[in-house]
Amino acid sequence: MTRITALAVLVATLVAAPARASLPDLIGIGTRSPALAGLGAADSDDWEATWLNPAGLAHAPRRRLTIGYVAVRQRLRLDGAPRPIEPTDGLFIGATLPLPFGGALRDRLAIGLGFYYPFGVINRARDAFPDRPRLALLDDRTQVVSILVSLGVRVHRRVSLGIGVLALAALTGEIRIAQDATGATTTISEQQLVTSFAPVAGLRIEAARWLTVGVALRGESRSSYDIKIKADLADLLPFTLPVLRIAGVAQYDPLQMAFEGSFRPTPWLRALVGLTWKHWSAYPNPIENATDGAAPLPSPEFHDTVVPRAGLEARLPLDGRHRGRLLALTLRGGYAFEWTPAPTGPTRTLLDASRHVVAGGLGLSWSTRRGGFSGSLDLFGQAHFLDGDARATGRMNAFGATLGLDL
Amino acid sequence: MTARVLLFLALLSSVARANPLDAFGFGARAPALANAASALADDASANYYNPAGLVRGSDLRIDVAYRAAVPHLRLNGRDLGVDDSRGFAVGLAAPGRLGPVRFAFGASLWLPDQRLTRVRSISFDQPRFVYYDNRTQRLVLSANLALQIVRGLYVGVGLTFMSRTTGTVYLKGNIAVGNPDESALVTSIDVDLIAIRYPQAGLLWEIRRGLAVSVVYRHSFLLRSDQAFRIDGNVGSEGAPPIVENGYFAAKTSTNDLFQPWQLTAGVAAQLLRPLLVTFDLTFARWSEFPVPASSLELTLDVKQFNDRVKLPPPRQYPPSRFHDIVTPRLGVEVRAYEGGRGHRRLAVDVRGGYAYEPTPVPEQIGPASLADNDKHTFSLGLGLDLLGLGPVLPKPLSLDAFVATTWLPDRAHRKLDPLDRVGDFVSGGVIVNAGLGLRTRF
Repeated sequence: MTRITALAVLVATLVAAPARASLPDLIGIGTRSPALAGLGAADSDDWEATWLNPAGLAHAPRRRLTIGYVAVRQRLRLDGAPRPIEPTDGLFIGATLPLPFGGALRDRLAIGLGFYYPFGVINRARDAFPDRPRLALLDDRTQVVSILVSLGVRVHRRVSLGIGVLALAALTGEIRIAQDATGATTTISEQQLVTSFAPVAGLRIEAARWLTVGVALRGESRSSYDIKIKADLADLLPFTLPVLRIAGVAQYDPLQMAFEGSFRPTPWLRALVGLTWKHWSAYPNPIENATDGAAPLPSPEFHDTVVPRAGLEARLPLDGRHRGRLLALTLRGGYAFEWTPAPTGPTRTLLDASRHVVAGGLGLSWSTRRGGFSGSLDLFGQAHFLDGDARATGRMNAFGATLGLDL
Repeated sequence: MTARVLLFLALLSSVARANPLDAFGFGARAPALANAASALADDASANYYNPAGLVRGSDLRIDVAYRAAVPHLRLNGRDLGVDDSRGFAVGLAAPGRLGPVRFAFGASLWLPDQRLTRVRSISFDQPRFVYYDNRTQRLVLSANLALQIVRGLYVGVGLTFMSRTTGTVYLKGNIAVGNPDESALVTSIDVDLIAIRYPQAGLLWEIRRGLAVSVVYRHSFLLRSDQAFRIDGNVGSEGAPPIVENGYFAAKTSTNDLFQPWQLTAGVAAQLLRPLLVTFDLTFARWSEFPVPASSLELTLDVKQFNDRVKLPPPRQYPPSRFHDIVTPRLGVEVRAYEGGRGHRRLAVDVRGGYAYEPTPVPEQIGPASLADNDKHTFSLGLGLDLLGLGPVLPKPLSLDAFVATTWLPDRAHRKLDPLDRVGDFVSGGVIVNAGLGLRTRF
């Protein structure tokens, strides 16, 4: 994998500390949406729409390939002590492919592909013993590959629909330790990676020339694991080992529904507002007991949340027609309040805190009149300030850059 | 008796887990040509056969195919009940321009319809079809970039993604004596599914209209699974003083899941006559680097006063595999059997056929290992329909492809040096039938 070394060094100097989590839900996907604090369900029309609202793909103006880098760093404290978390560095690859059908289907269909790949890791399952306090959403949500495939359809001049899937992997299997025919101990194992699909669907309506609204439904996504370990070593050990079941949920994003509006008071300015409902009350215990004899684990007792977001985007034409090129600078900013779903209390072990998310970014886009080299370079930065639970404090920072090229 | 038991175990559990693209190809056109397509592919299948081919066309291409391979592999005349290999092949080729430079982005996905990945390790002594058993059934995701260097000369590079598991599971609590199911153990986990990437690169030169040559390199990889677990705690009955207090038991296992040799393919595609296309590929595969397909296991424990009573056997030493390198020729022929139509509607029918010979890299199994493999003769047949003028909705050609291929593994005898070998002499052989349907679209 090509590591954008220079960019990584730049990022390392700009951001503060470590992170790993379900990236699309935690900071967004791409660079425009994270710069708007996660907004984009109402007006995104590039590969970010695969997650935000696939209906937006139907408005994709041209075939585009996007590649990017993202880094997340956390500096968190748990019960007053530093909580070191490995940094996340990942790669974005996205593509929007309007399907050039003719006739009745002309300019109506587009496919979007999204791929987020945390460097080196497809899926990471990490969880402490159930009696130990940990950061349920920031610490234990895993680094995981996200693959998104979506289709957008313009059903009316002002109405488009979209549907897609987010694919995750679930691991099941069995490991058996036994003696072979020569008396040596050996391992016999069978493990399977099976697919877990989470649907993403959306509706986008051009309500007026100055207003677009979007509704997106993102299904619950979970990456689980369930491995049995059997040790047939009765001839070697003075006791019999039980069958161990290693099971849990490595990554979990709740069912959520986003409602957003994008207002254009002037041709160069957009104001975006949105609310996202998240069904966190279905959050499962991240890890199960290995044997039935252990004491039952307490329920996480998470509650549903609503996340308000607001953002501004200003598109400023630069020197107009420099050598036949059209240049534009876009400035973005946003704020979101991520209300924590976790209950508080001195005996709780699954801890979390509400987060104030402050985001910003900029983009430089260029195009040529005669089909030459056109594309855009976008950057974003996000800062999450934890607030609301004295046991979980600190800050999380994210930074990313994407380069989009029109094909 | 033991040999029968081991053979019975093999019959129970042998599962076909070939690296699906190497074994059965991608799409539905190239497999009809016995996968001799490195100088031919200009559609989404170029993501596998030769990434340089992605930039040959100017249309956006999206291909989808479904294929199923049904093996009937025998050991001593008994069918091993090897699993089918079925799934979808989906790919795209998206060409574009960066100023004067033509380039293309491509991606392909092989998606098994049963599971994404199956990783399995079995006892070293257990007989197996190593080509299909060790090379596991798994999802294959590939992304490629290609560009035109000068007119007619293309280069492409890409990455294919695989995965492996590594990590440790920690447990603590009490192991019950008498009834282990009453043990009270809780878990902490630190396991990663790590991405393994291997590169591929291709060069394609269109010498003149109807004649192209190619060179493709596909790098090797070894997927090694490292897993461990450790139990800390007591051994004893609930409510009674522990028999062992604060002891531990740990197991660490490493398994070679999947090996792919590096491969170098040289190919040619020639339009000898107007209706006749001939393709030929020659592939060198570096199988001599094949590692021992065995698991290593390391056990450690501290059971206090019982330590003296535990005698853990030393790790077993395995003999090297001694595979050898192979060269595989593949030949494909495509004949335009019909071309006609009325008005804007055009129909073309292609008939395809092919043959490939893949010698086995596996030496005769004279030692304790019983890795069955055979020479493979593949005969393929296929049909392609090109439809043009389907109306304003689909102004560009639509291609439908179908193929069926049979791989014949002639019987091969393995004679053991040790007359007391637990498996004994065995004969391997069989047939694999592979068939598929595909749709290729251009936009």
